[in-house]
Parts: sequence; C-alpha cells; structure tokens
Amino acid sequence: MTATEPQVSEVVKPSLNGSQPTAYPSGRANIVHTDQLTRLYGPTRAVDEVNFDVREGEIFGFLGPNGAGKSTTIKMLTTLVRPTTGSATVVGYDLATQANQIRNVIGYVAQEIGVDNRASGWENLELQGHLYHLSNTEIKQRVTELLELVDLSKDAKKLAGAYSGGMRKRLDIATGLIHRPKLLFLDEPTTGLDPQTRANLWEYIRRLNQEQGVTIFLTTHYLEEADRLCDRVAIIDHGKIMALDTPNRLKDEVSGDVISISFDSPEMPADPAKREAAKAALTGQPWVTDIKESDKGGLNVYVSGGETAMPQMLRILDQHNLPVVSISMSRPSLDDVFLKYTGHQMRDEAGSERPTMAQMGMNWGARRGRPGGR
Amino acid sequence: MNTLADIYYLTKRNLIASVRIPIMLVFTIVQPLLWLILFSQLFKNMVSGMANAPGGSPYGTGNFLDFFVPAIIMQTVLFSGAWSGNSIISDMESGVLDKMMATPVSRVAIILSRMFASVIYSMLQVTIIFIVAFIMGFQSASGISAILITYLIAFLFGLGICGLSTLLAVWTKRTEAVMAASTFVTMPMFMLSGSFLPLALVGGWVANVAKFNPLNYALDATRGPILHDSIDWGTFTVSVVILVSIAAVFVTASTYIFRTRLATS
Repeated sequence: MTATEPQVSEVVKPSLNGSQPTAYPSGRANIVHTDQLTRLYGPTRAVDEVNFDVREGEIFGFLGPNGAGKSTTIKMLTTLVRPTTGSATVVGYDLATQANQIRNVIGYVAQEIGVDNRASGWENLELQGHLYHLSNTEIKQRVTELLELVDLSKDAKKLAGAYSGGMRKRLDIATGLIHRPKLLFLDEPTTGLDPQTRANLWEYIRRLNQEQGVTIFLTTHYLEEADRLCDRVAIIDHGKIMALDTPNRLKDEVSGDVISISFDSPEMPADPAKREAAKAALTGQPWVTDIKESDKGGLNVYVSGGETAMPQMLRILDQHNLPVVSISMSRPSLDDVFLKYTGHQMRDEAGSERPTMAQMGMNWGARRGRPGGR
Repeated sequence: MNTLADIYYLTKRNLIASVRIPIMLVFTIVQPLLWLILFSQLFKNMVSGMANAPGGSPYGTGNFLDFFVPAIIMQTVLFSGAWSGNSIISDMESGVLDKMMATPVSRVAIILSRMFASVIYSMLQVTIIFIVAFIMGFQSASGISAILITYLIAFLFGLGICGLSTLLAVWTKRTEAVMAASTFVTMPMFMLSGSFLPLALVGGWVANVAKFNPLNYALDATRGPILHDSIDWGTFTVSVVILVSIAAVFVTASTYIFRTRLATS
C-alpha cells in the first residue's frame, strides 16, 4: 500500500480478445475499446498507451487534472485527432479506417460551447440535423423533441447569444443528440458553470442515460461529478490510466472506511485510559486495518467494510465495558483515491503543466475563455 | 450530392450569421456608399473637365459615376474579401469548427461554404452600390448586360481574394496575420490600378506593374460595357480566364491546406 507507486487495477489490463470486432454485437458489449492508444505532441506523451473499455449503457468517466490527457483521448475517439500509435474501436468501427461511420453514430459536445450565438436554438439544432444528412421531416421532429428534453422549447426562437451559460450548454448537448447517437462524448460538461447549473446538468445527463439509453463518456476534473454521475471512473494522470473501477470500489481500495468513535461527552471528559483500552481491544481484529487517535480524544478506526464492522466493533467495546458515546462512519473520497494512485493531490496539479498551444494540434490557436487542458 | 447539400446549408448558415451582426451590416452598407459619394465628388470635375479633351476623354465618359461605379464595386469586393479569412479563424476559436468536424459533414464543404458566403455577401453590397448609383444618375451604355457582367466579374474577383484570405487564415490560424497581410495586399493592388485614373494618364512603371494586377482585369471587363454600347468579348474572355485561374488556385490551395493540416491532425 505505498502511495507513491501507482498500481493499475485489474480491469485496466488489455482484454485478451483484443482483435478488432468487425460487427458490433448487441447486448452489453464494449462500445469503446482501445488498444495501446497513444498521442504524442512533440516529446509530450499526452496519452500514453491507454487501454480501456466502455460498456454499452453506462456513464463512463475520465477523471484527472487539466493536461492529464482527457480531452486528447476524447478527440482521438471522436476522430478529431489521429492517434500517434495504437488503435481503437468505437461502436464497433475501427478508428483508423472507418472514421465517417463513427461520426454517424457518436455525438460530441466539446468543452467550449460550440453553439452559434447568431442563430436561434431552433436553427442551431436544424443545421446540426443537416450536417448529419437527416431528412427535413426527421429534423423537425427531432428538434421539437430535443428542445423539450433540454427545456428550451420556450426559447427556441431566441438567438443563442441571448441564452444564459447553462442554457447554451444544454443546447450544445442537444445538438450532439440530433441523430440519436448510441454514444455521447461530453468533454468537461460542467466546467465553468455555477453549482446550481451543474447539479441541473447532472440531472439531464442521467436522464439521457436512463431514459434515452445513450452511453455516455465524459471527462471531468471535478471529483464530485465523477463520484455522483459515473458508473465507472478511470483515473488518468500524465496520459496514463492509473485505476479504473466503480467509484465505490475505487474508494474501497484506498483504505476502506473510517469509523470515528469517542468516549467522552460534555459531562464526561476524555479519559486516555479508555482510549488505550479500546485500542488494545480492537487491535488484531481481521477487519481493522489501522487505528489512529483522533484530535477529539477518540479513535479513528480504519476498517474494511464499514457496515459490517460497526456492529462488531460496538459489541467488542461493550464486552470490554467501554461504552461508546458517539460513533460515525465516513467513506474515503475520490480525492483520497486520486492521491493513492498518483501520489499527489489532484488540485495540486490543476492548471499547471499545460502543453503549449502548438503542441496541442487541434487546438488551432489561442482559444478564448478556455480553461485549458486537453 | 451530400457535399453539395452540405455546402448549401453551411453557406446559408454563414450568410444568415453575417447579416445578424448589426454593426457589420451598417459598415458593409455604409462604407461603399461613403466611398461612392466621396470619391465621385472628389473626382467629379476631373472627369467632366476632360470630357471634351482633344482625341476624346481618357475616361471614356463625361459622367464621373459611370467611370467610378466599377471601381467602387471592385474595391468593396476586394476589401470585404481580404477580411473574409477571419471567419474560419473565429470558428476555430469558438469551438464551432471542432463540433462540425465530429459530424460526417463534408470537410471540403466547411471551407468552401465560408468562401461562398463571403462572396455572396459582397454581391449584396454590389447590389446596394448599383441601386444608389442609379439614383445618383449612373447609366450603363450596354444596359442590363453590363450589369450582369459586373456581377460575374465581381464574383470571380471576390472569390479569388476570399481564397487568398482564407489561405492565409488556414495557414497561419491567426487573425492578426490575415489583417496585416490583407492591408499589405489590398492597398498596393488598389493604388496600382486604374481605379481612380485611367492607366493611360498614369503611365510609366505603374502602368506596367498594373498589367499584373488582377484588379485591372476586373475593371477592364466591367468598364468597357458600362461606358460603351458594345461588349468587347476579347477583353471579357481574357479577364474571365485570368480571374477564374486566380480563384481556382487560391480556393484549391486553401481547401487543400484546410483538409490536410486542420481537418485531421
């Protein structure tokens, strides 16, 4: 359990059936499969031999600081940037040879809002429909549906330039859905939005996934977002996937749960003897991984499987005649997970170590209002 | 077929977007009119004063407007076209281009529609200039054919300039570069031409340099039918061939650069 040596969890390893599927099988198959996917910008290994699968129907997240390689991965999978080496299949199509087929079945919503401010919400969606070569009747029907879905029906005729940030992002996401994609890529969907709008957007994304059955691949540098929204999360740092699992299992792997107990109350001041006795009683239990004294005179007991450990712990302390005054349990955050796998805190890195624009290829020139990151 | 449809829808989108910038609409309409009025007032007496010169007026007319309208039209098309490359840069910067690239839309259509929209927008300016000029007393000796020829020539000339501007835009990806280069190209082009004065009056090295100036070919092809009651098809053909060639070179080059350097990386 050394924090400095990143481990790659089991799921990350390339699957043995690495040969390219020619047809896309239905059912819960892998909608994205990458094999040693790599992108270099000069000497910078933006994405470094990455292997992962996205399952059909899930919300899959890439969690990492700016410059970790999140956007570059998305840009490769959406055919915007060519991989330097390695390969991938997206919705069953080969990235290197079937780019146009891929474009027909995926939706892409970039980090920067790509709506035309000088066109209305309706017109933005209509044009997008034409770009996918849909028929006029289909476009009309889809635009109506989507405006409904993202609650913009009332503002359909207004120019997008007059929309609020949250409205424009919703419109942007709707344009990515015009052609009923099987897979939607959302690059940092809530960056730059206020907390209220962000929470709203999570609701829309969940609904899309559950009601419309769209598989979602998103990137984020918000731990909370990955935790609350994603079925599975890949932790990416310096172009490499450090861990990949459900948020809960990732957190389990850190150090289990923390049970905080205390023996004192306003009436009963802290008694160091009790604390020592409790420590002795709990030491050696198979589910206890570590015991630390808390600042409040109690103990922080690190356990695996907090739900089952808690009653056992109470029983043992009762047997030793050590009545517990208060008890609480907390789960480790993804922050702890990130620290464990990368050896550093995520926010330490945020905003630093950005590649120069010239290295970024698709990031044509200086982009305005862009928080950076790839 | 899809490519043609893509060009149509994207050109439409770009045109509508241009019209929706109110301040730009004001400038695009007011600026050529300002030039039309100021320049014609400035040179009015020069043209009418030479009307009875021995051996005929070098201007070919006593009516200043007849001489200046083609110049104002080509100047407007030139200046508008020179700026047009910036539109694709703004698409790059705003993320609109990335978003388009993730769709199956034809890559060629993205860049061609930008140039077409810009040239069609200039044609709107040409129309406004014609309308105001007619009100001010402009006359076309060959009637409607001269007007149609002017549109054709202005379109071809504009397409070449848009192609050049777009080429610079996709090459440098910087607005500043397009702006600097457009001034560097348009001003000498405008000065070293028969826009204000017939080249016969200018003479010397300027007249020689002007032979390589596409703006002069555009002026030659349009002024002839406006000033004379007959169309010189020889001059017309030479101008069309030269302007089509220039447009073909720059439009193809910018499309090629866009596809190879920007459309995939």
